[in-house]
Amino acid sequence: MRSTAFLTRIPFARRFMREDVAVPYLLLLPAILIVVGTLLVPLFILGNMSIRDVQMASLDEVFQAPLTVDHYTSVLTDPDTWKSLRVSVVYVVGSVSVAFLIGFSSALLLRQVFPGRKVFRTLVLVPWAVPGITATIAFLWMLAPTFGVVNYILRSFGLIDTDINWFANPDTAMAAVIAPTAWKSYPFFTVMLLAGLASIPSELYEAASVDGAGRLDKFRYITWPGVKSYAFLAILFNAMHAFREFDFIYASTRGGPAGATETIAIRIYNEAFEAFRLGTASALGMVTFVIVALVVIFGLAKQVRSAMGTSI
Amino acid sequence: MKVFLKRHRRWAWTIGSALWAGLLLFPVYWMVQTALSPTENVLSRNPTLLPRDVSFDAFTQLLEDPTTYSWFQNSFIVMGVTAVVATTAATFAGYALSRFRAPGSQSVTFVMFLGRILPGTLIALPFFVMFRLIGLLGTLPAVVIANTSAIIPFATLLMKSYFDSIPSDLDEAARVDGCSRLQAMWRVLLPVAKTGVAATLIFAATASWVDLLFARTLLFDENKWTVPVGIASMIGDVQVDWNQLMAAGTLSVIPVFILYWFTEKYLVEGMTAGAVKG
Repeated sequence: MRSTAFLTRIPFARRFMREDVAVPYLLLLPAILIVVGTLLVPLFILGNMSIRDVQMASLDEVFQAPLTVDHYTSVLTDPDTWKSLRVSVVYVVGSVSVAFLIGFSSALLLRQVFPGRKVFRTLVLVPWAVPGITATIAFLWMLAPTFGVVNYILRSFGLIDTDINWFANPDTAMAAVIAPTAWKSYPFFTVMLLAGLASIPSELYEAASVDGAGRLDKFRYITWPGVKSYAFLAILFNAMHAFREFDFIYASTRGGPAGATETIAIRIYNEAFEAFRLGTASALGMVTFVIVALVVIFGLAKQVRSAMGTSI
Repeated sequence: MKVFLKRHRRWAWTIGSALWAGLLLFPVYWMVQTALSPTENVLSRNPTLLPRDVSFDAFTQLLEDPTTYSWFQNSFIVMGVTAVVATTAATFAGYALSRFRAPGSQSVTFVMFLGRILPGTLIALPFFVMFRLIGLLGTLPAVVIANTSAIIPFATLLMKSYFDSIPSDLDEAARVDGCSRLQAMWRVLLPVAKTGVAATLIFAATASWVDLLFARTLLFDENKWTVPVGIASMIGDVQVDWNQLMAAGTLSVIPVFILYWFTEKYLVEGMTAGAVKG
């Protein structure tokens, strides 16, 4: 405090310090600096690269490269761009719905009172802690064509004659990448829905039993309305997560076979770091940024606001 | 039968849960089982549920190889530094967002939120250019900076929700007793928000331990790789050494499981609080 004592002689600074006007900004400063340096500056660089003729070799002069709109025309006219958007939608919807079903079933099971419930709660949430890359290799191995255990089980029940190459077959690749994604994300639904279930007063169920309501009625008129808002938030968060997902697809199919699992996120990576078309990758990134911003601002403004906290 | 079921209904739920948990955890079991099997037993058209022989060869081979050993070392460095830096920044920012209605704080939250939705690959590309311009490309500090920035937004929202749950009467009282805002935070609020800080620390540690994208795009020398990049590199196009791969996967899980085991309660509370209340 002593070193700043001279400041109190300046009227403005005195007010500033006494009323703590600066304190919130000082506290926010590290976070703001990091967000500016690692979100706004990167977006600025990305925007620059998307309108300039950049090469990997001339990357150091990225701001002097000649201007061009070629990247945007090629991205917007390339049917693969729209294909990857569709793949993203299928991947997000697929993994979120599978995770939701498993997560909700687990939550309904763990809500019951039975011996060992706490242990099972911990066990059911374990996939949450498994790194994405580890979940991916576990499924790569289970779904391996010749020695994989899934094909072995299907073979022993006589369901298949020839082994399925899950990750390499264009028809099954999407299901194969959804499997580890959903497996890792269902615990989030379990946790959220357990919190939702705990918020339902048990008197409601007792009253319904008195009125002669069946199991299905109770679910429809008590359980579901009680957990709906929790379920919605969990779906929103998980969908966001699946949309930006990289680990599962990169480690297993890299977007193949023939683009069957190439989501927007993977396509940006492939363009930039496999094909080294930095300009196209940047333009694709900017298009994605605009799509996300529009969805957030217009489509989900209300939900996002409530997710961020209503008090701010 | 009916009487039996009625009497033992609670146990029926236990058995049902055991089967359900067994099914859900099968991928983890199968990974560990394969890692513990000798190589010649792994490639079998008729795999057995329990390992026929147990061997730790795959683990010892991994840890004796200086390259794979260095992956773990690098991952621990990235995890430790990222967790401490991100949690510190998030604690300050979370306190500010929780206690002050400063103009502009809403846009800070919005930008942070946006950062969580954009695909990481979209940010990884300019990071690559940025770190090349400042000469950090290919070094662990680049990975630490990238991870810290990716973690801070959610960590901040997490800390904010913890501070929100503490009545502001507490810091008012501290202020009346003559504390400044910062002193009130340091001496009164932080001890109360201890579990929140712990949960945020664990969250940041886990998130940086599992990061594949930034480490993959910003590191080149295989001795500088982290565990996820190393594991990804072991998935060959033609041939895969499943035994070794599963052993690496098993090892990669251990640190997060340890963190998770001790802090599951706080994590579950923190995640729901962070998600529900923002």
